[in-house]
Amino acid sequence: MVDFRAPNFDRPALLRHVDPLLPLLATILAGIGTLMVYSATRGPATDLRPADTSYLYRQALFAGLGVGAMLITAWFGHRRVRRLVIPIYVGLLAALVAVLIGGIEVRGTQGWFQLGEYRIQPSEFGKIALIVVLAAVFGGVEEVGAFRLGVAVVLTGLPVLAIWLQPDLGTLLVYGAITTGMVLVAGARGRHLLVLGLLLLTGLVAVFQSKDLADYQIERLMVFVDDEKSTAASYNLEQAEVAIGNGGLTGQGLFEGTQNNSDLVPEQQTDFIFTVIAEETGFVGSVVVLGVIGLLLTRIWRIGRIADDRFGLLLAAGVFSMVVFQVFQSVGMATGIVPITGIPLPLVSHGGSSVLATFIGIGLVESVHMRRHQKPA
Amino acid sequence: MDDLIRYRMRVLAVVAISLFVALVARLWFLQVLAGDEAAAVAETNITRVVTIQAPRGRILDVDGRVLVGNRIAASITVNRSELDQADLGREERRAMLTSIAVEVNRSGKLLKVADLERALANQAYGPYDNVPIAVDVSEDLLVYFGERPHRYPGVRVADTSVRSFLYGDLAAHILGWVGPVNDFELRVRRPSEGKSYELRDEIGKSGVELMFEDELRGVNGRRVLEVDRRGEIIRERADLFVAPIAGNDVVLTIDIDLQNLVEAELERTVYLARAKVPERNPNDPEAGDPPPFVVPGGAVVVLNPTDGGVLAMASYPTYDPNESIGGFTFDRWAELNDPASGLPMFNRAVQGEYAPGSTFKLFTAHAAWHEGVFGVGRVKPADEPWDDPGDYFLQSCRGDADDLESAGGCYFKNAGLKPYEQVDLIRSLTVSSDVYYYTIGESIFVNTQHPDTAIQDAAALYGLGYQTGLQLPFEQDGYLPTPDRRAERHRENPEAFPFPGWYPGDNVNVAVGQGEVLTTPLQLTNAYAVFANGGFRWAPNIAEQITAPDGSVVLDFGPRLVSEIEIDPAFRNRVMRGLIGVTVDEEGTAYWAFNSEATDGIYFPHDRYSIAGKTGTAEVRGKADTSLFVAFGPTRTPTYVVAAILEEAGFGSSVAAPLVARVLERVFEETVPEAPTVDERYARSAALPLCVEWFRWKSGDTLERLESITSGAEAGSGPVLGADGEVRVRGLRVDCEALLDDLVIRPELLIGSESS
Repeated sequence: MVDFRAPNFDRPALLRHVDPLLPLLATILAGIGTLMVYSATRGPATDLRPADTSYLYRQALFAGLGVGAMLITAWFGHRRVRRLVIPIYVGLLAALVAVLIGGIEVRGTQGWFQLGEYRIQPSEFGKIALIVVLAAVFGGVEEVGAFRLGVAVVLTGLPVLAIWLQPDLGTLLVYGAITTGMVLVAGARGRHLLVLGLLLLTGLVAVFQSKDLADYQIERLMVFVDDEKSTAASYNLEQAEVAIGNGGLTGQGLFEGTQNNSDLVPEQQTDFIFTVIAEETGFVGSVVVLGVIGLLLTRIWRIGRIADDRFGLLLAAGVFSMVVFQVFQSVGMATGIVPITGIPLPLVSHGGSSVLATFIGIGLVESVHMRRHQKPA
Repeated sequence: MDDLIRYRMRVLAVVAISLFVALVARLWFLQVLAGDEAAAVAETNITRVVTIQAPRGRILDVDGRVLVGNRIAASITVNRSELDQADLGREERRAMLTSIAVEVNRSGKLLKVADLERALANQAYGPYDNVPIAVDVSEDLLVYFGERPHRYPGVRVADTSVRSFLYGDLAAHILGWVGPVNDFELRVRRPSEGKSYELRDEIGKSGVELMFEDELRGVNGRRVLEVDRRGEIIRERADLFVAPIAGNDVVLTIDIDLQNLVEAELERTVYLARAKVPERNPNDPEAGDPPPFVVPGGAVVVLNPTDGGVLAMASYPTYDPNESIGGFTFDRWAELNDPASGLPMFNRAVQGEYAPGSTFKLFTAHAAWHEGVFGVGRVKPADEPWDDPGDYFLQSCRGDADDLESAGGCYFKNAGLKPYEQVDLIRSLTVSSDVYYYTIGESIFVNTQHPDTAIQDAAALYGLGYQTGLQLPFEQDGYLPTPDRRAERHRENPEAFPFPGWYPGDNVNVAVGQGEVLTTPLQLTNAYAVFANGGFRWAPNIAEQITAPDGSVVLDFGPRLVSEIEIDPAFRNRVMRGLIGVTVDEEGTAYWAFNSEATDGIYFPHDRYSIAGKTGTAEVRGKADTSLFVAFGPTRTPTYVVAAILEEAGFGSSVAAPLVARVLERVFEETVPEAPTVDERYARSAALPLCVEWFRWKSGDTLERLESITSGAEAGSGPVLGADGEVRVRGLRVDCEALLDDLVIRPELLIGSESS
């Protein structure tokens, strides 16, 4: 057994403190995701109509690119990234504004750039950018005062506003979760948090009262509140729950899910990918997938704990918050314990931007582990 | 770093763990505790996507009359999985199919058990699909099969939308037909957005239906139904409903009344020509027994020379595209593609290639005039008359395999060795002197000052040898032989084309449109249109506009000018006089067609409308001559060009010319009868016996009158005759007087059309 904790002095300085489990778990998860995306999109293959492999190839391509991006990020190092924090933030805002102007609309959300046959969703990369920015803001001080908290709220508020205009409620919530998690770890005074909480509550009420919320979004939320309402949205939820239940203890078998093959669950390769996992691999498979994610989170959390600088620790806390929230939201809405909002299951759902961004985040965390004995330059 | 921040990391962990526990607990509940319930729902929960066929666009004639539309037809379908579940033995199954066939045949549609078996084996359908086995059957079967589900498991009768060719076989070659898309089309076709094909979708197979497939095809919609295991519909997913979008309409330049007239005249001419017996030529003792007038087919094209619009285009024999509804039967398809039956689906007007014969002399004359051939060598000046002896001797002939035995030199002769006196350019066209053009043909080749291919170049200027660009599929090029092309053909395929060389004899042949010269009827018509309109070569249009279902114009074709050619006015005047002479001069080759009724022609009102024309009689080895006639008028400002070509039918002057004369007379006198639709044709044939009775009653004596009144009163639900001579059939009114008048124009319309 290799003891991962012990620094391996045979390796070059940079690789001495590599955590091999973190990238390994991320890659395994992306592999599971690629397989499940294929299952969700291949369609019922017949002699006359072969299985659709286009999603499979695209997802595999992005998983491969993601692994590469993760390694490059880890090599580049989180400390060098910290020095680029201003251009990163400006770039984030520029991209979010640009997508409002020149982006394309998919299912009512203007959040993508069309690049040849691929689409790029800047708000996905923005999650990582936000983590870096907030880690830099909170990283320099022991205790977060009112001023820094205010700066953080403003810095988060600008991209959130841009995403609100797309509108993309799901991504917006992820930004909120990241900020909340990082503020919590960075340490804010109780009364500041209270004020912040009140502000958030007012905002939420304002959102629901405003006419900006699309009808379908309200409908989705109402479905969650009122079980009896039979609409397209309740239908989605119902079919998703049927699919998950249909999996039983051990599942219907890969590619054998009847709900999956009848295309009964909408968006089953992206936001509802978990229904495919649950139906085809059952409770056992679902728990295994959640377990792999849990292990990944454990590694991230551990790296945060043993980081030797606040910036690195906060990076890990940010990525941790992001993944936890997305997993909870994505699986939670499929199982009907939280309202439906479109959020991908990290590394598993179909979507190149999300996969790439998450891998970059993992790469940053890995860098924190690799450089924890180097003194910051 | 302080421990406080590491402590706060724990808070994060606690939150995460509690969230994960919640998820796992929920999964445990859904999958393990409540899993059976969900599995039961999933098992019965099947959605079925029902495609809503978008109506195909219509095809209209120039006046907006619908030529092709859609109608609802009953069709019998079999669900294979239900049939299999019924677990019939082989004998039982066969007995069931036989009784289906019997019931269908009883309702009036011919169907064999073998056809049923073939339809049932169709791999384009899935195991749960309702496979159509007979389309367009009687509505009565709906009740019959509906009442006997246990005897006919899986058999249903459903209404489907099918194509309806309202005028039956009229314009069949132009309209084309539709059928289920096949593997080849699925692979090759690049459908436009939203119009992709499923395995059993309808697709245009020929004619306008094929050419404008992308426009005519609509965008299918769909309904999503949730059904339980028994196939009962639980509910419809209104949120997933997609409404179909109808296809665009195609408006043609065709006038269906004129089309009807032209087709009727063509058919009638074919029958008349077949009845004739070829005469042995008394002046030509060498000739053996002449080949009979088989007349396997023919074509007529009517073109508007001012914009290239095709007003009518007929090809004989023809077929009824309504037969394609639900697929041609196996036997019928074989028959339609059998050369022995004259290939009814072959559009001779654009696909048939014929030697133009003397109609080609116009282009030879054009070459001679514009290349300065007149007055050089053996060719006299255009206006200087000389005597045509009736035959022509060529020193070095060759090239023409017929005359190989007379090695070295050969004779070319006028039809029937007929001599003409005092022939100049004008008269050479009127009387159609071959020797006059032989001389030109040889002179052009022999004299080095003339370009060798002057004749072919002139013909090409008029558009011969090239596709005209009409919007119909499978148009042929025709062929203009030149020394280069002959050498190339020989190089590519020496066995089929053993002679690489070009001799004066070949040029002589080309000069009179013989040898290897080939044109399509449309090309020839269009070439004469170029002359008629003074030099504008249009790409003919068969489609005028594409319109959206809401009536807005999507695409307006308008006249499409290919090129403009120079025609010397002095030349045009002379040729015009020569061509007018063809119909008015007593020696004109079409004089009898335009000034007599003895040869099936008519007394044409020359005083009001002047017609220029040219006959052609093209020799085909071993067969009777091809009969051609091209005419245009009125000569001052031509608005109609008509060409008629009949295979193996004899002289142009005696077969094609009378046909054109009859058509033009009706066109100019505006007495083109209204084209009957299929329904009207049926009504007329059903009304005919009553009309004959009525006619007898009207013209008969009183005793007969009394008898017929009593017999007429017994009529039940069938056709009812009124005292005013009007018969009512299935909601249509037939005027007996008009019907009996029309009998003269299109007798076959009333004979044997009972089945349509």
